[in-house]
Amino acid sequence: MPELRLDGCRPRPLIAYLKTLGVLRVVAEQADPGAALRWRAGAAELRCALERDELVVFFLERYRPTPVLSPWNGGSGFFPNDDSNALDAIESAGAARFGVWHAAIAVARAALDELGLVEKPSSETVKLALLRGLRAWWDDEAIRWLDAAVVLRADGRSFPPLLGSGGNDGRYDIANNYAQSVARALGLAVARGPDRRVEWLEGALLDAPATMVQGSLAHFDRQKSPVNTPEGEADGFANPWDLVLAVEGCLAMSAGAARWAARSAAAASAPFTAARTAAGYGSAVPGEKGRAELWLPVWEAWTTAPELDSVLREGRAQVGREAARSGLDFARAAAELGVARGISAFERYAVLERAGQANLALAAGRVEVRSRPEVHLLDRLQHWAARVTHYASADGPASLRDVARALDRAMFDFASRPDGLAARRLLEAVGAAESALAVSVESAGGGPRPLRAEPAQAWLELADDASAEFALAACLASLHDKDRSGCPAVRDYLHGTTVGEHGRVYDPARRSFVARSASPLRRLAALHARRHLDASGAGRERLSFDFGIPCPRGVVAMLSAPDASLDSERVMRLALGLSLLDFRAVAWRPRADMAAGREPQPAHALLALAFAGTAEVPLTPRPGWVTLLAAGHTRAVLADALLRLRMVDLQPIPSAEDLALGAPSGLLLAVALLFALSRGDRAVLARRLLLVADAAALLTKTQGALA
Amino acid sequence: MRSLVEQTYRVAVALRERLGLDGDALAVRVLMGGEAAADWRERPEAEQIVIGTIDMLLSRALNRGYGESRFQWPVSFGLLNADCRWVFDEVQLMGPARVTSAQLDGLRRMLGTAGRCETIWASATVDLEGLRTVDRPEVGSRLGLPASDLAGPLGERLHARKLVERVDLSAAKAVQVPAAIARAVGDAHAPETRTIVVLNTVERAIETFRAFRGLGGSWGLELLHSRFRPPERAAGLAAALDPELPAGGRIVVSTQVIEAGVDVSSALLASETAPFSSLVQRLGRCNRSAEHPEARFMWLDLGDPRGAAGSMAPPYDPADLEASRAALFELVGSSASPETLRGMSVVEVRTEMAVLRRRDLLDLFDTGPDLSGLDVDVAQFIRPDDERSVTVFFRDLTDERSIEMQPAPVREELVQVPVGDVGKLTAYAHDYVEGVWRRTVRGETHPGQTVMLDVHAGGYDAGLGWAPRHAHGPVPVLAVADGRPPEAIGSDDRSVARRWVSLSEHLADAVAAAEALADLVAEGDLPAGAVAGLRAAAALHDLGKAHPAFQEMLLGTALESERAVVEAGVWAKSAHAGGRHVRRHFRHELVSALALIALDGVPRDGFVDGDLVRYLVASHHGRVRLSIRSAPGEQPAADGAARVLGVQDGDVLPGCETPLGATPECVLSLAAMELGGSGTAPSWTAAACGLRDRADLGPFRLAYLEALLRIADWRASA
Repeated sequence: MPELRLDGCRPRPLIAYLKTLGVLRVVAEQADPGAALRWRAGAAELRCALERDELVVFFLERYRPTPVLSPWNGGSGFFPNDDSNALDAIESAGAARFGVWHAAIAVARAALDELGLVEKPSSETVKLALLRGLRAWWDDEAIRWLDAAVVLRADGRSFPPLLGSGGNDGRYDIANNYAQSVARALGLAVARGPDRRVEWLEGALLDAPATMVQGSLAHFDRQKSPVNTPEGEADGFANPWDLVLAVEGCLAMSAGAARWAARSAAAASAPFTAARTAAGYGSAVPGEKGRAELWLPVWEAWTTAPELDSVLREGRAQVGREAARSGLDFARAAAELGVARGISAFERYAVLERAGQANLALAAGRVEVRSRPEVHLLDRLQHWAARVTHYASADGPASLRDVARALDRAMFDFASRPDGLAARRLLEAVGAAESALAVSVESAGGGPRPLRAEPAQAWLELADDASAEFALAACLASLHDKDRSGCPAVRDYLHGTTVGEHGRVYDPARRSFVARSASPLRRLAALHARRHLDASGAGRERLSFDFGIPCPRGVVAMLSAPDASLDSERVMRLALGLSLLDFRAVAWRPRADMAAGREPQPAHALLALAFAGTAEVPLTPRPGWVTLLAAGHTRAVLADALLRLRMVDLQPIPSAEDLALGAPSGLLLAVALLFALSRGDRAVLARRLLLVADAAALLTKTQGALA
Repeated sequence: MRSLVEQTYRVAVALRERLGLDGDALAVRVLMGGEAAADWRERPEAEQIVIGTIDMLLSRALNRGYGESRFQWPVSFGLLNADCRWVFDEVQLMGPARVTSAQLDGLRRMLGTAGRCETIWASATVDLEGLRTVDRPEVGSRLGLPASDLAGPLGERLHARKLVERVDLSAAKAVQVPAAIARAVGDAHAPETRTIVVLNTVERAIETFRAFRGLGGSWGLELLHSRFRPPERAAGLAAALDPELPAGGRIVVSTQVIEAGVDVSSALLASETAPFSSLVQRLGRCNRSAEHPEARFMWLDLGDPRGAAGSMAPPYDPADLEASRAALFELVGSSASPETLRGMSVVEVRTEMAVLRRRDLLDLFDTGPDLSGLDVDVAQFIRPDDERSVTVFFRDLTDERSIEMQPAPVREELVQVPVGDVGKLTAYAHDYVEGVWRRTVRGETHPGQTVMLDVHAGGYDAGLGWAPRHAHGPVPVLAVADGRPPEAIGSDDRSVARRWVSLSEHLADAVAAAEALADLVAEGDLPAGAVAGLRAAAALHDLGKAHPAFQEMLLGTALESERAVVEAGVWAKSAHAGGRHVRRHFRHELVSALALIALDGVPRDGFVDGDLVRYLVASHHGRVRLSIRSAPGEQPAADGAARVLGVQDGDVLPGCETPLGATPECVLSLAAMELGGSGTAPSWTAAACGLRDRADLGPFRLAYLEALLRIADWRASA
């Protein structure tokens, strides 16, 4: 069977995609029921009984355009002030190919008469009566348009976003323009100039060069926002076949009537149509608002029209056990293979409404259908995020709305491409959202609750970029207390939450503990000091911390080394997100080779020993040390620390004066000492900086041997 | 309307007896939702009369049976659209169902059925134009009463006297109306007679009933409306109809349910203003056979429906009430006999209703879940907007652990209530994926759904029926026989028999049963090859049970003493229940269908129409039909292999013995579920849609064949 490449039929822009659906539908219904179509290398290929030239002859001579009429719209050609030239041309065309169309016009006129309508219906009741009457009496062919443009429900109607508000785009009536294009394309209208019918058709199908005529393709081909252009949208130039075939294609995009009956959301009333997710495209133009997203399937195997129809009418996109509703859901469905098998990708379009109610369809990228199991990390996060978005849009301040939008975007990007970078961005976005909520949600109110901790392991494996920043953030986040002393968790200090009787809540009183406006280092130092205060307040003897993950000394050394190029802002951003995870049962460790060879500054190392001791002699820091360090009193703390070590028979080799020379700032030390070192690391430091307990005996032995 | 169902049932049984027939020769069945022991679907070859409400029957004819498992929908759909005569009574009360019934009639002719299907509409006040639709443009032939019928007793009835008097209640506020009605009617009621009061809404009927109770008269008092459970409704109706009246007489407070053909009469009938056709019906319950010379009709005029009384107009259109009211003013002081009424013409508003179109029906043929995840709602084709109802039943759910596995409801427990009343309650709906009862999301209950409520939540009272505003005490529980929860995707109840049944034996039994059923198909009712296809499908339908996963499941139920024997064979059914599939949602019929694709027409005998055979085999449990889809939430296998309904790409099905010969071992491929198919063969969906759209087959005949194979399988499993 001939296979024909249709270079005019591409997945982008929208008009080209719809045109492709139109070609398959028309050829299958009117020329060859076995016709099949597939997408290959950026364009459509058609397999049918017709050779290229026969296809052209078919469209020009035998094709019966589907009747498309919108007598419920002003400008449809049915009312005195409308341009009715196209309708007249169709009505007076004698050919049998317009028979169904003629009948549909007659039914429409009778319905208007019965309701006594001489202009477009303004009352909702009358409009509904008209629509119901047309759906009751139009031919099966003619109701396809009605079903695609208007969804009639028991309690009213809604409009699938693909066809504007019931078959119009602002003042542009799609039906009337379609009729006009049909008249032109098939040569019904008296044309000035040469006969371009073949040229137009070949242009539309094969992308052959063709002279355009004045006309607009409305939002099907409007990719840029005309809002900013002061002159507005001038009449463009277009190929009449483009609109004819695209409208034929739109007729394939209607959900089964039996399927939409139970639903009410407008966005869900058409197949592969989702509520907008503000991600993946710029929507910065003022005066534009998103209406919906179209997720148009692309497939690679030869597919017949009835089968495609079945897939489109089913419109299945499912996330777990739920039907996809938003763009984010669709991205997740594509990653979880929750769509009909054989759909290889989705072309995503954002339908935006610009001031003046005309729409534009912005190509917003392609999302491959491929198993991406990592996307399951979003499963529980999404419910929280949905509440955050809802709260932000309803009650939240502008800053919270920005944070919520960023979160939405990070989730979408992660769903489309769940790699390490996307995971880190998402963690940062989650952390930022939690922080923003902590200052704007009153716990008594009905706002969202703090995020519930998810197991950290999978996140760590995915997001780890082998950087010191990530390792530090993860180690900090892993801080927990085995004895459950009642001290707040790291996340509570960082964000401002508290665990109450009914679980964790945002806590306005906690907000000031660690000033969020300060630099990350100041915040970490303050956290450290505050934590000591709380621990001693809670009557704890040991002030040292238990970390789920010990930080390699080389990495901690980065903190106290003035020459290390450490991005402390980034540590903080990551820690804000990572601290919300559950670090129990975590097997992840920072890469061992990271920062190999780097050693803590002697002052840092000695203080670390004074803070935690050795395996044989465990120690705990004195309550005031961190505060003193943060205030710059390094020398005093060093002296006290040396004294403390000696008291337990640990003999430091260097003196306080030696250590103070070239020591990092007290602030850096206060931060660095927050990170506990492993026993092994402390043993290494002890060997370097402490006299071995039986050094004297060793010395005697050595001397004896030498003698 | 249900009272009419019960009455019709009794009349049908009486008629059968007069014909000297028994239940075997002519079964009479009532279809009311809930699983019935003797199922009307099990004997398609027998003559039977099936009686049900519009909701129950029409929803089944649309492939979305109310109160029926989604996996059973296609069986009812197949049988109700083949070889049967539909009779619709009281057309004027049908609402959207009138148009739907007419369209179904037209579509059956357009798309073809197995055997003849005709429709008869019966009504005293018929608007013939209302039966004309786009796909049924002719009104059809008309049967009326011959003149001879108008003489004699019927003639007397036609002139029976019903003196119309007006009670002006226009000054009463809505809350005062029930008490005012009770006072006026109570004063006029005569001892030893029956008085009937008809109200337009259930709420008003309940309030009025309570007001009568408050008056404490010596009369007997009954309440009739549609929101009772069958036993309580039957008791109420029996009392209302009881010819023996107490000394104080009887007052029956009713809603429109009494309009539809209930054979009861009264000396005093009181009614609100109603659309004229309804009034005519109501008046038929007054002095029905001219037995009360002083019979009266008390018109309870609540006032101007376009004005102050507008809030009390629903469920009716104020314009209809206004027209009726004008007519009633003319009748005051005279007799509203049927003859008088026949001479009056009151135009009623015709509202545009949702019309079932060909493409809607083709969509409904697919029983896969809706894209919103909910079952599809056909209410718009059946009921007016304000009568959308859900079916509820009550259980004692004090023990929370018992909730999930509650048995399926039986018909005696079910009551239909407005969908809006349930939205706010804690309700449980059956989750067909997991096979358990789950709490519904508030506000997402939809018409036609069956939901379970806790008896302690109240809402129902044996005397008042469904009355959430008045019934706060625990609901009396009806004794429920132990049963199983409703069907889930993975359930396979019919794989349990009284003894171990080998696969080859079961396949042979199914062929015999299918052949017996095929005999009832008249030549020309089905396309050539369809009957052969049915037979082949019966012979191969359970091929997939040879799958190791299925055999393992059966083996798991074997007693220690049976093990050796069982391990040596290939079985279709176990003698014991309780088998569990290691692979969740495992469907053997999908394996059968995929095997037939892999075997590509082997065995050849009888394989004239491969697409049809494969479709029938796949659909024989109602789970795999137009598309092959994984169960919601179904995960791929541990090694990442695609898994659909427990079947994995690359599974090997051992060869087995079938009535059509031995089949070789084969490797299963899920390529058929890909859009566009495997490249060499069309996809499953393309082939199934092809059958649905084939001119000589079409949705009705295809579903009929589907039903026949399933019934053959049931019989072979009995």
